Amino acid sequence: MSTADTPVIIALDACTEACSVALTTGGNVFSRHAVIPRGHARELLPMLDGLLAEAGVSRDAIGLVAYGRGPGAFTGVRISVAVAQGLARGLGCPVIGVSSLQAVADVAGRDAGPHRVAVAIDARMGEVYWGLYERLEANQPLKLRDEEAVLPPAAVTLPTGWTEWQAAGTGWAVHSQALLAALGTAPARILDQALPDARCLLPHAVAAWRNGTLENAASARPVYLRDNVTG
Amino acid sequence: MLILGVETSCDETGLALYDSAGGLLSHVLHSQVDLHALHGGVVPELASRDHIRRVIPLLDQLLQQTDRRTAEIDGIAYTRGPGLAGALLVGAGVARSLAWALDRPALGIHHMEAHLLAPLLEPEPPAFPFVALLVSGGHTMLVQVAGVGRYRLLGESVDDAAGEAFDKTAKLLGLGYPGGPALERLARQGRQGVFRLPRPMTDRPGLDFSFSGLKTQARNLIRRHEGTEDAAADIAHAFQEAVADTLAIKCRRALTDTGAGRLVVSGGVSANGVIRTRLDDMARAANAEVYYPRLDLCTDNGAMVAYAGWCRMQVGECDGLDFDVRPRWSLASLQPPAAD
Ligand SMILES: Nc1ncnc2c1ncn2[C@@H]1O[C@H](COP(=O)(O)OP(=O)(O)OP(=O)(O)O)[C@@H](O)[C@H]1O
Repeated sequence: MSTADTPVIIALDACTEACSVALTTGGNVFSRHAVIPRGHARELLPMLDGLLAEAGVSRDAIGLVAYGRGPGAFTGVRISVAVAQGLARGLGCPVIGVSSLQAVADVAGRDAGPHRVAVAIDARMGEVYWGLYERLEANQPLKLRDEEAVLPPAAVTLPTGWTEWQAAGTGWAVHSQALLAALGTAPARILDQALPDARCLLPHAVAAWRNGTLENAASARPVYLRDNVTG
Repeated sequence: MLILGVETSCDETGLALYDSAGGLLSHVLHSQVDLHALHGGVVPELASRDHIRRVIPLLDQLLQQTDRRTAEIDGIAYTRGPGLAGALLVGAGVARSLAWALDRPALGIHHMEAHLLAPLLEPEPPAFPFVALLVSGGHTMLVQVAGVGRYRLLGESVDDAAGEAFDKTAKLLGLGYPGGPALERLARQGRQGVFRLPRPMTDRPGLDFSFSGLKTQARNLIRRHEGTEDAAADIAHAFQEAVADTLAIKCRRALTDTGAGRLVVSGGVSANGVIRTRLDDMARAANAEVYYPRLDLCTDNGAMVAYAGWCRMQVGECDGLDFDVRPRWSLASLQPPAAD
Protein backbone atom coordinates (compact mmCIF):
# COMPACT_ATOMS: atom_id res chain seq x y z
CA MET A 1 0.00 0.00 0.00
CA SER A 2 1.56 3.29 -1.05
CA THR A 3 0.82 5.94 1.54
CA ALA A 4 3.05 8.82 0.48
CA ASP A 5 0.09 11.19 0.23
CA THR A 6 -1.78 9.99 3.30
CA PRO A 7 -1.50 10.94 6.97
CA VAL A 8 -1.02 8.57 9.88
CA ILE A 9 -4.16 6.44 9.93
CA ILE A 10 -5.40 4.37 12.84
CA ALA A 11 -8.04 1.68 12.53
CA LEU A 12 -10.02 -0.10 15.22
CA ASP A 13 -12.67 -2.77 15.32
CA ALA A 14 -14.65 -4.31 18.18
CA CYS A 15 -17.73 -5.54 16.30
CA THR A 16 -17.28 -9.27 16.90
CA GLU A 17 -15.48 -11.43 19.47
CA ALA A 18 -12.25 -10.07 17.96
CA CYS A 19 -10.79 -6.76 19.09
CA SER A 20 -8.15 -5.23 16.84
CA VAL A 21 -6.25 -2.05 16.14
CA ALA A 22 -3.92 -1.08 13.30
CA LEU A 23 -1.88 1.90 12.27
CA THR A 24 -0.14 2.93 9.10
CA THR A 25 2.59 5.51 8.89
CA GLY A 26 4.88 6.17 5.97
CA GLY A 27 4.12 2.82 4.36
CA ASN A 28 4.67 0.78 7.52
CA VAL A 29 1.79 -1.09 9.09
CA PHE A 30 1.50 -2.01 12.77
CA SER A 31 -1.36 -4.01 14.21
CA ARG A 32 -2.73 -5.97 17.15
CA HIS A 33 -5.51 -8.49 17.22
CA ALA A 34 -7.00 -10.41 20.13
CA VAL A 35 -10.06 -12.62 20.50
CA ILE A 36 -11.58 -11.35 23.75
CA PRO A 37 -15.36 -11.57 23.81
CA ARG A 38 -16.66 -9.08 26.43
CA GLY A 39 -13.17 -7.60 26.94
CA HIS A 40 -13.26 -4.91 24.26
CA ALA A 41 -13.92 -1.91 26.49
CA ARG A 42 -11.09 -2.95 28.74
CA GLU A 43 -8.56 -3.67 26.01
CA LEU A 44 -9.23 -1.38 23.05
CA LEU A 45 -7.51 1.81 24.22
CA PRO A 46 -4.58 0.04 25.91
CA MET A 47 -3.99 -1.83 22.63
CA LEU A 48 -4.10 1.42 20.69
CA ASP A 49 -1.83 3.18 23.15
CA GLY A 50 0.67 0.32 22.93
CA LEU A 51 0.53 0.38 19.15
CA LEU A 52 1.38 4.08 18.99
CA ALA A 53 4.33 3.54 21.31
CA GLU A 54 5.53 0.63 19.16
CA ALA A 55 5.25 2.70 16.00
CA GLY A 56 6.83 5.74 17.66
CA VAL A 57 3.89 7.92 16.62
CA SER A 58 2.33 10.62 18.79
CA ARG A 59 -1.44 11.03 19.04
CA ASP A 60 -1.56 14.43 17.41
CA ALA A 61 0.05 13.01 14.27
CA ILE A 62 -3.08 10.92 13.62
CA GLY A 63 -4.99 12.30 10.66
CA LEU A 64 -7.74 9.74 10.11
CA VAL A 65 -9.61 7.16 12.20
CA ALA A 66 -11.10 4.09 10.51
CA TYR A 67 -13.59 2.03 12.49
CA GLY A 68 -15.51 -1.19 12.13
CA ARG A 69 -19.10 0.00 11.83
CA GLY A 70 -20.87 -3.36 12.11
CA PRO A 71 -22.85 -5.46 11.67
CA GLY A 72 -21.99 -7.62 14.65
CA ALA A 73 -22.73 -7.81 18.37
CA PHE A 74 -24.67 -4.61 19.18
CA THR A 75 -22.57 -3.69 22.19
CA GLY A 76 -19.28 -4.34 20.40
CA VAL A 77 -20.42 -2.33 17.40
CA ARG A 78 -21.24 0.60 19.66
CA ILE A 79 -17.89 0.36 21.46
CA SER A 80 -16.21 0.52 18.08
CA VAL A 81 -18.20 3.56 16.95
CA ALA A 82 -18.17 5.35 20.34
CA VAL A 83 -14.39 5.10 20.59
CA ALA A 84 -13.99 6.28 16.99
CA GLN A 85 -16.23 9.27 17.72
CA GLY A 86 -14.31 10.23 20.86
CA LEU A 87 -10.93 9.84 19.18
CA ALA A 88 -11.88 11.81 16.10
CA ARG A 89 -13.53 14.61 18.09
CA GLY A 90 -10.51 14.85 20.38
CA LEU A 91 -7.96 14.66 17.59
CA GLY A 92 -9.97 16.93 15.33
CA CYS A 93 -9.73 14.50 12.44
CA PRO A 94 -12.22 12.75 10.12
CA VAL A 95 -13.41 9.15 10.35
CA ILE A 96 -14.36 6.42 7.93
CA GLY A 97 -16.56 3.44 8.77
CA VAL A 98 -15.98 0.03 7.18
CA SER A 99 -18.39 -2.90 7.18
CA SER A 100 -17.54 -5.95 9.30
CA LEU A 101 -18.69 -8.14 6.42
CA GLN A 102 -16.26 -6.34 4.13
CA ALA A 103 -13.47 -6.81 6.70
CA VAL A 104 -14.13 -10.56 6.82
CA ALA A 105 -14.15 -10.74 3.02
CA ASP A 106 -10.82 -8.91 3.00
CA VAL A 107 -9.34 -11.45 5.40
CA ALA A 108 -10.38 -14.23 3.00
CA GLY A 109 -9.17 -12.36 -0.07
CA ARG A 110 -5.92 -11.09 1.37
CA ASP A 111 -3.70 -12.33 -1.50
CA ALA A 112 -5.08 -9.72 -3.94
CA GLY A 113 -5.97 -12.30 -6.58
CA PRO A 114 -9.47 -12.52 -8.08
CA HIS A 115 -11.99 -13.74 -5.56
CA ARG A 116 -15.65 -14.25 -4.84
CA VAL A 117 -16.41 -14.41 -1.15
CA ALA A 118 -19.74 -15.19 0.52
CA VAL A 119 -19.51 -13.78 4.03
CA ALA A 120 -21.79 -14.93 6.82
CA ILE A 121 -21.35 -13.62 10.38
CA ASP A 122 -23.36 -15.36 13.09
CA ALA A 123 -26.17 -12.97 14.05
CA ARG A 124 -27.70 -15.16 16.80
CA MET A 125 -31.46 -15.73 16.89
CA GLY A 126 -31.08 -18.21 14.03
CA GLU A 127 -29.88 -15.62 11.53
CA VAL A 128 -26.70 -14.53 9.76
CA TYR A 129 -25.37 -11.19 8.57
CA TRP A 130 -24.80 -11.82 4.89
CA GLY A 131 -22.74 -10.08 2.21
CA LEU A 132 -21.32 -11.11 -1.17
CA TYR A 133 -18.00 -9.65 -2.30
CA GLU A 134 -16.12 -9.96 -5.55
CA ARG A 135 -12.85 -8.89 -7.06
CA LEU A 136 -12.83 -9.59 -10.76
CA GLU A 137 -9.38 -8.15 -11.50
CA ALA A 138 -6.31 -8.65 -9.36
CA ASN A 139 -5.28 -5.80 -7.03
CA GLN A 140 -8.68 -4.15 -7.06
CA PRO A 141 -10.68 -3.88 -3.83
CA LEU A 142 -13.18 -6.60 -3.04
CA LYS A 143 -16.52 -4.97 -3.75
CA LEU A 144 -19.92 -5.60 -2.26
CA ARG A 145 -22.50 -7.02 -4.69
CA ASP A 146 -26.11 -6.23 -3.92
CA GLU A 147 -26.79 -5.30 -0.31
CA GLU A 148 -25.78 -6.48 3.12
CA ALA A 149 -28.61 -8.27 4.90
CA VAL A 150 -29.62 -10.10 8.04
CA LEU A 151 -31.58 -13.22 7.25
CA PRO A 152 -32.14 -16.88 8.14
CA PRO A 153 -29.52 -19.21 6.61
CA ALA A 154 -32.24 -20.92 4.59
CA ALA A 155 -32.96 -17.64 2.78
CA VAL A 156 -29.50 -16.92 1.32
CA THR A 157 -28.87 -17.02 -2.44
CA LEU A 158 -25.87 -16.64 -4.75
CA PRO A 159 -25.82 -14.66 -7.99
CA THR A 160 -25.80 -16.70 -11.19
CA GLY A 161 -22.29 -17.22 -12.48
CA TRP A 162 -20.80 -17.74 -9.02
CA THR A 163 -19.15 -21.06 -9.74
CA GLU A 164 -15.76 -20.55 -8.11
CA TRP A 165 -16.24 -18.94 -4.67
CA GLN A 166 -15.17 -19.07 -1.04
CA ALA A 167 -17.06 -18.91 2.19
CA ALA A 168 -15.89 -16.85 5.19
CA GLY A 169 -17.11 -15.83 8.61
CA THR A 170 -18.42 -17.35 11.81
CA GLY A 171 -21.88 -17.83 10.32
CA TRP A 172 -20.34 -20.69 8.35
CA ALA A 173 -19.27 -22.40 11.57
CA VAL A 174 -22.70 -22.19 13.15
CA HIS A 175 -24.97 -22.66 10.12
CA SER A 176 -22.86 -24.41 7.44
CA GLN A 177 -25.41 -27.13 6.71
CA ALA A 178 -28.33 -24.79 6.32
CA LEU A 179 -26.30 -22.34 4.23
CA LEU A 180 -24.97 -25.05 1.89
CA ALA A 181 -28.44 -26.56 1.56
CA ALA A 182 -29.89 -23.18 0.63
CA LEU A 183 -27.19 -22.46 -1.94
CA GLY A 184 -27.02 -25.95 -3.46
CA THR A 185 -23.37 -25.45 -4.40
CA ALA A 186 -20.16 -25.87 -2.40
CA PRO A 187 -17.41 -23.28 -1.94
CA ALA A 188 -13.77 -23.92 -2.88
CA ARG A 189 -12.92 -23.41 0.79
CA ILE A 190 -14.60 -22.37 4.00
CA LEU A 191 -12.84 -19.97 6.38
CA ASP A 192 -15.31 -20.27 9.20
CA GLN A 193 -12.93 -18.82 11.79
CA ALA A 194 -12.34 -15.59 9.87
CA LEU A 195 -12.99 -12.50 12.00
CA PRO A 196 -12.68 -8.82 11.08
CA ASP A 197 -9.20 -7.37 11.51
CA ALA A 198 -8.42 -3.65 11.76
CA ARG A 199 -5.55 -4.14 9.30
CA CYS A 200 -8.13 -4.77 6.61
CA LEU A 201 -9.70 -1.38 7.30
CA LEU A 202 -6.55 0.53 6.36
CA PRO A 203 -6.74 0.19 2.54
CA HIS A 204 -10.35 1.40 2.65
CA ALA A 205 -9.26 4.35 4.76
CA VAL A 206 -6.50 5.23 2.28
CA ALA A 207 -8.98 5.03 -0.59
CA ALA A 208 -11.52 7.18 1.26
CA TRP A 209 -8.81 9.74 2.03
CA ARG A 210 -7.90 9.97 -1.65
CA ASN A 211 -11.52 10.16 -2.77
CA GLY A 212 -12.42 12.60 -0.04
CA THR A 213 -15.31 10.38 1.08
CA LEU A 214 -14.77 10.97 4.80
CA GLU A 215 -17.16 11.57 7.70
CA ASN A 216 -16.85 13.73 10.79
CA ALA A 217 -17.03 12.38 14.34
CA ALA A 218 -20.68 13.28 14.83
CA SER A 219 -21.78 11.37 11.75
CA ALA A 220 -19.99 8.13 12.66
CA ARG A 221 -22.84 5.62 12.97
CA PRO A 222 -23.23 1.94 13.69
CA VAL A 223 -24.83 -0.27 11.07
CA TYR A 224 -26.81 -2.95 12.87
CA LEU A 225 -28.80 -4.41 9.94
CA ARG A 226 -31.15 -5.86 12.55
CA ASP A 227 -33.45 -2.98 13.32
CA ASN A 228 -36.50 -4.62 14.82
CA VAL A 229 -35.35 -4.71 18.44
CA THR A 230 -38.45 -3.86 20.44
CA GLY A 231 -40.36 -7.13 19.88
CA MET B 1 -9.97 23.12 36.42
CA LEU B 2 -12.51 22.55 33.64
CA ILE B 3 -14.33 19.21 33.84
CA LEU B 4 -16.58 17.72 31.17
CA GLY B 5 -19.33 15.45 32.53
CA VAL B 6 -21.06 12.79 30.43
CA GLU B 7 -24.21 10.98 31.59
CA THR B 8 -25.77 8.10 29.59
CA SER B 9 -26.88 5.63 32.26
CA CYS B 10 -30.53 5.41 31.26
CA ASP B 11 -32.76 7.39 28.92
CA GLU B 12 -31.15 10.82 29.10
CA THR B 13 -28.00 11.95 27.31
CA GLY B 14 -26.53 14.75 29.41
CA LEU B 15 -23.30 16.71 29.07
CA ALA B 16 -21.99 19.60 31.14
CA LEU B 17 -18.94 21.73 31.79
CA TYR B 18 -18.05 22.48 35.41
CA ASP B 19 -15.34 25.00 36.14
CA SER B 20 -13.78 24.96 39.60
CA ALA B 21 -13.47 28.74 39.47
CA GLY B 22 -16.70 29.67 37.68
CA GLY B 23 -19.05 26.87 38.77
CA LEU B 24 -21.42 25.16 36.38
CA LEU B 25 -20.87 26.82 33.00
CA SER B 26 -23.67 25.04 31.17
CA HIS B 27 -25.40 21.72 30.82
CA VAL B 28 -27.20 20.23 27.83
CA LEU B 29 -29.62 17.34 27.74
CA HIS B 30 -31.44 15.14 25.31
CA SER B 31 -34.33 13.21 26.81
CA GLN B 32 -35.51 10.03 25.12
CA VAL B 33 -38.88 10.16 26.84
CA ASP B 34 -40.84 10.35 23.58
CA LEU B 35 -38.91 7.44 22.11
CA HIS B 36 -39.72 5.13 25.02
CA ALA B 37 -43.22 6.48 25.67
CA LEU B 38 -44.43 4.46 22.66
CA HIS B 39 -43.36 1.30 24.48
CA GLY B 40 -44.57 2.28 27.95
CA GLY B 41 -41.09 2.16 29.47
CA VAL B 42 -37.40 2.29 28.67
CA VAL B 43 -36.29 -0.17 25.97
CA PRO B 44 -32.56 -0.65 26.70
CA GLU B 45 -31.47 -1.34 23.11
CA LEU B 46 -33.29 1.74 21.83
CA ALA B 47 -31.70 3.81 24.59
CA SER B 48 -28.20 2.72 23.55
CA ARG B 49 -28.94 3.36 19.89
CA ASP B 50 -30.09 6.87 20.67
CA HIS B 51 -27.20 7.80 22.96
CA ILE B 52 -24.65 7.13 20.25
CA ARG B 53 -26.39 9.61 17.94
CA ARG B 54 -26.51 12.32 20.61
CA VAL B 55 -23.25 12.53 22.54
CA ILE B 56 -21.02 14.32 20.01
CA PRO B 57 -23.69 16.79 18.78
CA LEU B 58 -24.45 17.66 22.43
CA LEU B 59 -20.74 18.15 23.09
CA ASP B 60 -20.53 20.52 20.12
CA GLN B 61 -23.58 22.42 21.40
CA LEU B 62 -22.11 22.63 24.91
CA LEU B 63 -18.76 23.96 23.69
CA GLN B 64 -20.47 26.49 21.48
CA GLN B 65 -22.73 27.72 24.30
CA THR B 66 -19.79 28.15 26.65
CA ASP B 67 -17.36 29.39 23.99
CA ARG B 68 -14.81 26.73 24.92
CA ARG B 69 -12.66 24.36 22.90
CA THR B 70 -11.92 20.72 23.65
CA ALA B 71 -8.28 21.63 24.31
CA GLU B 72 -9.37 23.66 27.34
CA ILE B 73 -10.93 20.62 29.05
CA ASP B 74 -8.77 19.45 31.97
CA GLY B 75 -10.54 16.19 32.73
CA ILE B 76 -13.51 14.09 31.67
CA ALA B 77 -15.95 12.40 34.05
CA TYR B 78 -18.52 9.89 32.82
CA THR B 79 -21.13 7.72 34.51
CA ARG B 80 -19.71 4.23 35.00
CA GLY B 81 -22.80 2.83 36.73
CA PRO B 82 -25.22 1.79 38.00
CA GLY B 83 -27.50 1.76 34.96
CA LEU B 84 -28.12 0.05 31.63
CA ALA B 85 -24.92 -1.65 30.48
CA GLY B 86 -25.26 -0.80 26.78
CA ALA B 87 -26.21 2.80 27.49
CA LEU B 88 -23.34 3.27 29.96
CA LEU B 89 -20.86 1.86 27.45
CA VAL B 90 -21.68 4.53 24.88
CA GLY B 91 -20.93 7.42 27.23
CA ALA B 92 -17.91 5.67 28.69
CA GLY B 93 -16.54 4.85 25.24
CA VAL B 94 -16.84 8.35 23.87
CA ALA B 95 -15.64 9.99 27.11
CA ARG B 96 -12.67 7.70 27.67
CA SER B 97 -11.41 7.87 24.09
CA LEU B 98 -11.94 11.64 23.94
CA ALA B 99 -9.82 11.98 27.09
CA TRP B 100 -7.11 9.78 25.60
CA ALA B 101 -7.09 11.80 22.37
CA LEU B 102 -6.78 15.03 24.38
CA ASP B 103 -4.20 13.48 26.70
CA ARG B 104 -6.33 14.31 29.74
CA PRO B 105 -7.38 12.19 32.73
CA ALA B 106 -10.76 10.47 32.82
CA LEU B 107 -12.82 9.09 35.69
CA GLY B 108 -15.87 6.83 35.87
CA ILE B 109 -18.45 8.17 38.34
CA HIS B 110 -21.11 6.46 40.45
CA HIS B 111 -24.47 7.76 39.24
CA MET B 112 -26.00 7.91 42.73
CA GLU B 113 -22.97 9.71 44.14
CA ALA B 114 -23.50 12.28 41.40
CA HIS B 115 -27.17 12.61 42.40
CA LEU B 116 -26.37 13.07 46.07
CA LEU B 117 -23.69 15.68 45.40
CA ALA B 118 -25.92 17.63 42.96
CA PRO B 119 -27.31 19.99 45.68
CA LEU B 120 -23.72 21.14 46.25
CA LEU B 121 -23.92 22.92 42.89
CA GLU B 122 -26.42 25.38 44.37
CA PRO B 123 -25.42 28.87 45.61
CA GLU B 124 -25.90 27.91 49.27
CA PRO B 125 -24.72 24.33 49.42
CA PRO B 126 -25.17 22.10 52.46
CA ALA B 127 -22.08 21.40 54.55
CA PHE B 128 -21.07 17.86 55.44
CA PRO B 129 -22.22 15.77 57.23
CA PHE B 130 -25.80 15.29 56.02
CA VAL B 131 -28.41 12.66 55.33
CA ALA B 132 -29.30 12.17 51.66
CA LEU B 133 -32.61 10.89 50.36
CA LEU B 134 -32.21 9.63 46.79
CA VAL B 135 -35.55 9.04 45.10
CA SER B 136 -35.59 8.26 41.39
CA GLY B 137 -37.04 5.80 38.90
CA GLY B 138 -34.43 3.21 39.79
CA HIS B 139 -33.57 3.95 43.42
CA THR B 140 -34.98 4.89 46.80
CA MET B 141 -32.30 5.17 49.44
CA LEU B 142 -31.30 6.99 52.56
CA VAL B 143 -27.58 7.57 52.91
CA GLN B 144 -25.52 9.04 55.72
CA VAL B 145 -22.93 11.27 54.10
CA ALA B 146 -19.83 12.23 56.08
CA GLY B 147 -17.99 13.62 53.06
CA VAL B 148 -17.31 12.83 49.41
CA GLY B 149 -16.98 9.05 49.15
CA ARG B 150 -17.90 8.49 52.80
CA TYR B 151 -21.33 6.92 52.57
CA ARG B 152 -23.27 4.63 54.85
CA LEU B 153 -26.45 3.13 53.52
CA LEU B 154 -29.20 3.68 56.09
CA GLY B 155 -32.07 2.13 54.17
CA GLU B 156 -33.38 1.40 50.70
CA SER B 157 -36.39 0.02 48.91
CA VAL B 158 -36.87 -3.69 49.28
CA ASP B 159 -38.95 -3.76 46.07
CA ASP B 160 -40.04 -0.97 43.69
CA ALA B 161 -38.30 2.40 43.73
CA ALA B 162 -40.58 5.35 44.52
CA GLY B 163 -40.38 6.64 40.94
CA GLU B 164 -41.17 3.19 39.63
CA ALA B 165 -44.25 3.05 41.87
CA PHE B 166 -45.30 6.48 40.53
CA ASP B 167 -44.82 5.27 36.95
CA LYS B 168 -46.69 1.97 37.45
CA THR B 169 -49.57 3.57 39.34
CA ALA B 170 -49.82 6.27 36.69
CA LYS B 171 -50.05 3.56 34.05
CA LEU B 172 -52.87 1.86 35.98
CA LEU B 173 -54.62 5.23 36.03
CA GLY B 174 -54.29 5.43 32.26
CA LEU B 175 -51.69 8.22 32.35
CA GLY B 176 -48.76 8.44 29.94
CA TYR B 177 -45.10 7.65 30.54
CA PRO B 178 -43.23 8.83 32.57
CA GLY B 179 -46.05 8.81 35.03
CA GLY B 180 -44.61 10.81 37.93
CA PRO B 181 -45.33 14.31 36.66
CA ALA B 182 -48.67 13.23 35.13
CA LEU B 183 -49.79 11.67 38.41
CA GLU B 184 -48.83 14.80 40.31
CA ARG B 185 -50.98 16.88 37.94
CA LEU B 186 -53.97 14.57 38.27
CA ALA B 187 -53.63 14.47 42.07
CA ARG B 188 -54.12 18.23 42.18
CA GLN B 189 -57.78 17.65 41.28
CA GLY B 190 -58.12 14.90 43.90
CA ARG B 191 -59.83 15.43 47.24
CA GLN B 192 -58.22 14.96 50.60
CA GLY B 193 -59.46 12.01 52.63
CA VAL B 194 -61.68 10.26 50.07
CA PHE B 195 -59.32 7.30 49.98
CA ARG B 196 -56.57 6.34 52.33
CA LEU B 197 -53.60 4.13 51.49
CA PRO B 198 -51.15 2.79 54.10
CA ARG B 199 -47.71 4.26 54.85
CA PRO B 200 -45.73 1.07 54.22
CA MET B 201 -43.13 -0.06 56.75
CA THR B 202 -43.54 2.98 58.99
CA ASP B 203 -45.10 0.97 61.83
CA ARG B 204 -41.88 -0.86 62.55
CA PRO B 205 -38.31 0.35 63.19
CA GLY B 206 -35.83 0.64 60.37
CA LEU B 207 -35.23 2.84 57.34
CA ASP B 208 -36.09 0.52 54.47
CA PHE B 209 -38.92 1.29 52.06
CA SER B 210 -41.46 -0.81 50.21
CA PHE B 211 -43.63 0.70 47.50
CA SER B 212 -44.95 -2.23 45.52
CA GLY B 213 -47.80 -2.92 47.96
CA LEU B 214 -48.96 0.66 47.57
CA LYS B 215 -49.18 0.20 43.84
CA THR B 216 -51.20 -3.02 44.33
CA GLN B 217 -53.62 -1.29 46.68
CA ALA B 218 -53.99 1.54 44.22
CA ARG B 219 -54.82 -1.05 41.57
CA ASN B 220 -57.53 -2.55 43.78
CA LEU B 221 -59.06 0.87 44.36
CA ILE B 222 -58.99 1.61 40.65
CA ARG B 223 -60.83 -1.67 39.91
CA ARG B 224 -63.38 -1.12 42.62
CA HIS B 225 -64.20 2.41 41.53
CA GLU B 226 -64.06 1.95 37.79
CA GLY B 227 -66.44 4.37 36.14
CA THR B 228 -66.84 6.51 39.25
CA GLU B 229 -66.35 10.14 38.38
CA ASP B 230 -63.29 11.76 40.01
CA ALA B 231 -62.11 8.44 41.46
CA ALA B 232 -58.87 8.50 39.44
CA ALA B 233 -57.91 11.93 40.79
CA ASP B 234 -58.82 10.93 44.34
CA ILE B 235 -56.75 7.73 44.07
CA ALA B 236 -53.80 9.64 42.62
CA HIS B 237 -54.09 12.06 45.52
CA ALA B 238 -54.18 9.25 48.09
CA PHE B 239 -51.21 7.51 46.47
CA GLN B 240 -49.10 10.66 46.43
CA GLU B 241 -50.02 11.46 50.04
CA ALA B 242 -48.94 7.96 51.09
CA VAL B 243 -45.58 8.25 49.34
CA ALA B 244 -44.97 11.78 50.66
CA ASP B 245 -45.80 10.83 54.24
CA THR B 246 -43.73 7.65 54.08
CA LEU B 247 -40.69 9.52 52.77
CA ALA B 248 -41.10 12.23 55.42
CA ILE B 249 -41.47 9.73 58.27
CA LYS B 250 -38.35 7.82 57.22
CA CYS B 251 -36.33 10.98 56.69
CA ARG B 252 -37.25 12.25 60.13
CA ARG B 253 -36.20 8.93 61.59
CA ALA B 254 -32.89 9.07 59.70
CA LEU B 255 -32.20 12.58 60.98
CA THR B 256 -32.93 11.48 64.54
CA ASP B 257 -30.88 8.28 64.28
CA THR B 258 -27.83 10.03 62.87
CA GLY B 259 -28.16 13.29 64.73
CA ALA B 260 -27.72 15.12 61.42
CA GLY B 261 -29.21 18.59 61.01
CA ARG B 262 -29.25 18.62 57.23
CA LEU B 263 -31.24 16.62 54.70
CA VAL B 264 -30.31 16.56 51.03
CA VAL B 265 -32.97 15.34 48.60
CA SER B 266 -32.20 14.41 45.01
CA GLY B 267 -33.40 12.22 42.12
CA GLY B 268 -36.34 12.60 39.73
CA VAL B 269 -39.09 12.12 42.34
CA SER B 270 -37.74 15.08 44.33
CA ALA B 271 -39.23 17.28 41.61
CA ASN B 272 -42.63 16.48 43.15
CA GLY B 273 -44.11 19.58 44.79
CA VAL B 274 -46.21 17.76 47.39
CA ILE B 275 -43.25 15.65 48.47
CA ARG B 276 -41.12 18.78 48.77
CA THR B 277 -43.69 20.54 50.92
CA ARG B 278 -44.08 17.49 53.16
CA LEU B 279 -40.30 17.21 53.61
CA ASP B 280 -40.01 20.95 54.28
CA ASP B 281 -42.71 20.71 56.98
CA MET B 282 -41.04 17.69 58.55
CA ALA B 283 -37.66 19.43 58.57
CA ARG B 284 -39.09 22.55 60.19
CA ALA B 285 -40.59 20.43 62.95
CA ALA B 286 -37.30 18.53 63.34
CA ASN B 287 -35.28 21.74 63.35
CA ALA B 288 -33.34 20.58 60.32
CA GLU B 289 -32.63 22.11 56.94
CA VAL B 290 -33.51 20.60 53.57
CA TYR B 291 -31.55 21.10 50.38
CA TYR B 292 -32.67 20.29 46.84
CA PRO B 293 -30.92 20.70 43.53
CA ARG B 294 -32.67 23.04 41.10
CA LEU B 295 -35.44 21.22 39.24
CA ASP B 296 -33.50 20.47 36.06
CA LEU B 297 -30.71 18.89 38.11
CA CYS B 298 -33.09 16.57 40.03
CA THR B 299 -33.41 14.19 37.09
CA ASP B 300 -30.46 12.65 35.26
CA ASN B 301 -28.01 15.23 33.89
CA GLY B 302 -24.37 15.77 33.01
CA ALA B 303 -23.82 18.59 35.50
CA MET B 304 -23.89 16.33 38.55
CA VAL B 305 -21.42 13.97 36.86
CA ALA B 306 -19.06 16.82 36.02
CA TYR B 307 -19.28 18.06 39.59
CA ALA B 308 -18.71 14.63 41.18
CA GLY B 309 -15.83 14.26 38.72
CA TRP B 310 -14.30 17.49 39.93
CA CYS B 311 -14.68 16.48 43.60
CA ARG B 312 -12.52 13.45 42.87
CA MET B 313 -10.24 14.60 40.06
CA GLN B 314 -9.09 17.72 41.90
CA VAL B 315 -6.99 15.48 44.14
CA GLY B 316 -5.69 13.50 41.19
CA GLU B 317 -8.06 10.54 41.13
CA CYS B 318 -8.31 9.05 37.63
CA ASP B 319 -8.79 5.80 35.71
CA GLY B 320 -6.57 3.76 33.46
CA LEU B 321 -7.27 3.38 29.75
CA ASP B 322 -9.90 0.70 30.22
CA PHE B 323 -13.51 1.80 30.54
CA ASP B 324 -15.38 -1.04 32.15
CA VAL B 325 -18.89 -0.12 33.22
CA ARG B 326 -20.74 -1.31 36.34
CA PRO B 327 -24.45 -1.80 35.73
CA ARG B 328 -24.73 -2.84 39.39
CA TRP B 329 -22.53 -0.96 41.81
CA SER B 330 -23.08 -0.39 45.50
CA LEU B 331 -22.80 3.20 46.69
CA ALA B 332 -21.45 2.14 50.09
CA SER B 333 -18.44 0.51 48.41
CA LEU B 334 -17.09 3.91 47.29
CA GLN B 335 -14.02 5.36 48.93
CA PRO B 336 -13.04 8.98 49.57
CA PRO B 337 -11.19 10.69 46.70
CA ALA B 338 -7.58 9.60 46.42
CA ALA B 339 -4.83 10.22 43.89
CA ASP B 340 -4.03 7.27 41.62
N1 LIG C 1 -43.22 15.45 39.73
C1 LIG C 1 -42.91 14.15 39.93
N2 LIG C 1 -43.57 13.42 40.85
C2 LIG C 1 -43.25 12.12 41.06
N3 LIG C 1 -42.32 11.45 40.38
C3 LIG C 1 -41.64 12.13 39.45
C4 LIG C 1 -41.89 13.50 39.18
N4 LIG C 1 -41.04 13.90 38.18
C5 LIG C 1 -40.31 12.81 37.86
N5 LIG C 1 -40.66 11.74 38.61
C6 LIG C 1 -40.15 10.38 38.52
O1 LIG C 1 -38.73 10.39 38.57
C7 LIG C 1 -38.22 9.27 37.83
C8 LIG C 1 -37.11 9.74 36.92
O2 LIG C 1 -36.06 10.19 37.72
P1 LIG C 1 -34.50 10.14 37.34
O3 LIG C 1 -34.33 10.66 35.96
O4 LIG C 1 -33.76 10.78 38.44
O5 LIG C 1 -34.24 8.63 37.51
P2 LIG C 1 -34.00 7.35 36.62
O6 LIG C 1 -33.13 7.62 35.48
O7 LIG C 1 -35.34 6.77 36.35
O8 LIG C 1 -33.29 6.44 37.70
P3 LIG C 1 -31.84 6.45 38.33
O9 LIG C 1 -31.39 7.85 38.49
O10 LIG C 1 -32.07 5.75 39.61
O11 LIG C 1 -31.00 5.67 37.38
C9 LIG C 1 -39.40 8.67 37.10
O12 LIG C 1 -39.81 7.50 37.76
C10 LIG C 1 -40.47 9.76 37.18
O13 LIG C 1 -41.79 9.28 37.14
